[in-house]
Amino acid sequence: MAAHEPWHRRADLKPAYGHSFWWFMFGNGGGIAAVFLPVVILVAGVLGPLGVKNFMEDSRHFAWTLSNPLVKLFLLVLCFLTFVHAAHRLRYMLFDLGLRGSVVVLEWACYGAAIVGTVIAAVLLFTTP
Amino acid sequence: MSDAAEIESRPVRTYRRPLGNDWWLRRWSYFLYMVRESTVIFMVAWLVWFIFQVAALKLGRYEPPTGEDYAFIAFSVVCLFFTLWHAVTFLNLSGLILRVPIGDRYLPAAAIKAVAFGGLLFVTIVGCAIMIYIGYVKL
Repeated sequence: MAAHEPWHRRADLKPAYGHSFWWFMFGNGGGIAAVFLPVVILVAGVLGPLGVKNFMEDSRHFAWTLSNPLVKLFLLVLCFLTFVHAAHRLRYMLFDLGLRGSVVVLEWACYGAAIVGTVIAAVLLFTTP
Repeated sequence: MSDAAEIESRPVRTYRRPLGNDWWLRRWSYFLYMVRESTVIFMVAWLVWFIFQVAALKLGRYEPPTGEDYAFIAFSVVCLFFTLWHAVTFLNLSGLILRVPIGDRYLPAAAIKAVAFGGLLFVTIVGCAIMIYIGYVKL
């Protein structure tokens, strides 16, 4: 009886590669966003408007910063991993809030939005300035 | 009506009690769990604003936010608050999730958490310094 076999010997169970991939991206995205995003919001979103000079000081400084390929790569990775992390959390949050009838649609909507957002960010970052 | 027919006519009894949509309002800890889950909305919202700024720069219409943009400052403060909420709750779990083997034992969870929060502090200080320094570069 397959049901009485230990899970690692059961031939009817297959590894959930898709599920493990999104969980892996969720974990990494959460860590990267937790460490790197607060300082970006603090400087560009709060201190900058309050008068502290920073990389978004004016269009010349902003463009000069974005001209560095490493900065582009950093921002793209930050966007991608944060979006994927958010998609994974939103998927389960919406399920918890009662959207339980259309899991596949929810998955496509959340992960699809994350990928579309990443592509838009990539195009903008790598064609600017 | 026979017993079998009477039983058939009863509503189906499920083993699992159906979960209502307001379960997270029943306990404070459930509510905080949902707040933690919703922190990503603010993180994504701020990054979307940032991508819009890159688009504005590309189109030659970039204008940096000023001290009179109260709505934007309030938006950023709220986003920062929830991003820090995410950071604290996520890094708090690092000691539970990450297993770092040392010989036949594992690094204590408190040490892993200390490294995670130390990393956050280090990145915040160094990141602040670099991003502010760029503002003073003469171009």
